[in-house]
Amino acid sequence: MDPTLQNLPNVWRAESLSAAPAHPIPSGHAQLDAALGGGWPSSALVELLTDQEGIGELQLLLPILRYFRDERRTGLVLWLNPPYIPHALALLQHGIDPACHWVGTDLSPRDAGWAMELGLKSTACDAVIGWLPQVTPTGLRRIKLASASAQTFAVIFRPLAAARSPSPATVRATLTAEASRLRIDLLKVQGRRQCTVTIDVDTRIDAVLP
Amino acid sequence: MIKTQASLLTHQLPLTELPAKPAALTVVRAEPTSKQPHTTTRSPQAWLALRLPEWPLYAAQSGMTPEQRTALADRPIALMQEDRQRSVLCCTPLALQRGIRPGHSLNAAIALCADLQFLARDERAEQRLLEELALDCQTYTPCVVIQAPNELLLEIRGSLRLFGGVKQLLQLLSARLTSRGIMAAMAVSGTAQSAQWLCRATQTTRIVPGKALPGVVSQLPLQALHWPADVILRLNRFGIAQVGDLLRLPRGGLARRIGKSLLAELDQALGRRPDLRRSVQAPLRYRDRILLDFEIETTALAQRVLDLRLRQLQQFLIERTLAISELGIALKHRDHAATPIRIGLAAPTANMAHVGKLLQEALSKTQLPAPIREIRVSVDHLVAPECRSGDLALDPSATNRDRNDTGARARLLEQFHARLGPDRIKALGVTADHRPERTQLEHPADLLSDRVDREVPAQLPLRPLWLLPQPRLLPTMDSEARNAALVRGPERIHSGWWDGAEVERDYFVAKSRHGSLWWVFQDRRQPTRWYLHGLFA
Repeated sequence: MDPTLQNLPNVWRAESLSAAPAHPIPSGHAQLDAALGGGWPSSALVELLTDQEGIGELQLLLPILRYFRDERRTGLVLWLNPPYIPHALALLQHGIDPACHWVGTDLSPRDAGWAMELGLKSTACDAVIGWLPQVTPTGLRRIKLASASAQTFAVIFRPLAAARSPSPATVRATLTAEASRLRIDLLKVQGRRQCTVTIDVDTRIDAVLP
Repeated sequence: MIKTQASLLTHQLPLTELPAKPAALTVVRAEPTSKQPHTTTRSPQAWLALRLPEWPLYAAQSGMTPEQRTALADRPIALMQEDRQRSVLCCTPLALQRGIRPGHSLNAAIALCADLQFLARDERAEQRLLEELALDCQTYTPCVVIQAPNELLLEIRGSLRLFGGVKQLLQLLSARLTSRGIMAAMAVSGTAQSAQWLCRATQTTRIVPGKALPGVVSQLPLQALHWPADVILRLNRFGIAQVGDLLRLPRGGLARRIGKSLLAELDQALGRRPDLRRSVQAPLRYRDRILLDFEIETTALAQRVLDLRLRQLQQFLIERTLAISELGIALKHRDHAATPIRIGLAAPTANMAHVGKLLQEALSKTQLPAPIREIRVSVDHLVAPECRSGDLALDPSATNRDRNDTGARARLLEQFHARLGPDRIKALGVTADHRPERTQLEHPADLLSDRVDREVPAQLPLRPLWLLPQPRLLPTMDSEARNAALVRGPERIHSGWWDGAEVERDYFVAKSRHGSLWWVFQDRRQPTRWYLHGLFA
């Protein structure tokens, strides 16, 4: 572009609109919001490391799914290679419409990575949640780029052992169960400090159970 | 002079809007109205009307196998109308000999002829076959009009010289119809409406020259007009039996009695009023054949060649405002059968960049038995694209708005289909059933994912977010440890005794040693067996 045009003070360039500052997505937990700087960064890659299922990892994601519902972004949520099937009735009980959730199971690691990138690039998806234990650093970078370019939210679940290798993720955290509570160790939050947050999982269930 | 004027006035007007099926409108205009409209010297048009009296019978038999046909060959057949009375609609000559007449009730028909064979009417086949026949008739003229349920109109003026006159054309046409086993009554006249009426009134073929038209139309019985039964009855009460009687009545009074639209039909039949008819058009197709100068051995190279041709296809589609919903590609080899590749699209598109991506996935999965010598690209159905207004480019909320866009969903789904195979991506849903494995629905993802607006009963205990595809049998643990582990419960689910998949279970929430919450159940019919069915994640 012509440098004189570029330096005009009152000219806004259309491409800068896509890089508009993103609003954080509230995580539903005051402690976690504080640690993350207001909430989950939207259109970013969140990497969650855990070796166990059923310790409250989906409870952590529910506020994000509800946020998309409230923002009237009625796009899809794509689940790739989840360890179990997301329970449609439970999603409904949590106020989330299961019809816009697409699930792909038994995909080869290569296909799952490809599908994740494709879903993130597509304007049809709000978020893609993938279980990619064998993802390569290049794959991670591609996923992050796809998420940033199309303003979609990416969550990757990987085993705890992956914590040793570096990752381009915007937020990186380990999830462990600690006496009926979910312990979140934030290994990396871009632009913020490391810290540990624990969330009650058990009591939240108690509140709903009769 | 008159001739030039007529040829100027008779032309095909393309429609300005784009209908689902492209059609052309033929403007048929008679001579300028003079004080004596009957003195038309030369008709600018020649309409051939074709009536197929046994069409329902023909259509009902069209779907039969040769064995079924031979079994029916020497038996009397009657076609039944699927209405309340179940009456005979039409029947074969053999049945006519036995005394069966259209309008007989089922019982009367059986009483008259015990071995009568009944067929059900297939109106959809009638319509489809009539469309096929209309396209077939385009051998004789480009302007063929379908008059449902069983009539066709052909404008043959321009074809007369080619086929050597009306009589030769009629002979050719009737020979063609007879060879296909179709009975037809035909009439040729100067206006479409009068030709249609004439072919209803006679069994033999009639050719009416322009001068004789008013006289011939005057002699037509009112029944040939197919006007509403109450109008015909009213006119019969006036003592009117023929069109000629009708023409003698004062126009103003007649318009009040029978309505303006029927009077307009009368004027159209006599050529006093223009008659607009919609001509059928053969569905558009696209064919492309790529003869290669050299043999291609890799699909990657074939992809490069095809990309160029897809750009041509895109240009073709843009010029005509069309889209494709399916693309067929055949890779031809020297000594092997051609390798077919079919790309189905969830929504019609003219975006070849997207089709190219799908093609790339399809080609990468294709095994070539031999080098490619020739590539053929074919599209059998070109359809009207779904057009929508784009967003203003500077609108920052545009990226959010098109998330519900079916186009983006369709493209995503097609790409999944092309690489992963169909039905690998499932959409979630719920049905009202007490059994958890039945409540959960997983159907192949499609574009029709309507919102689930089910109310969940408020008293229903919280369900786990993870569900196991199959309940997993837990290794037996001693009762004390188990009791300590159970946090909530039991919730009894006893259902399904009516459909053979009965369950009788007590569901509990249990705490595992690792701190996760499990949704477990005890099978009440085998109390020692405990199963894991979900995880509260």
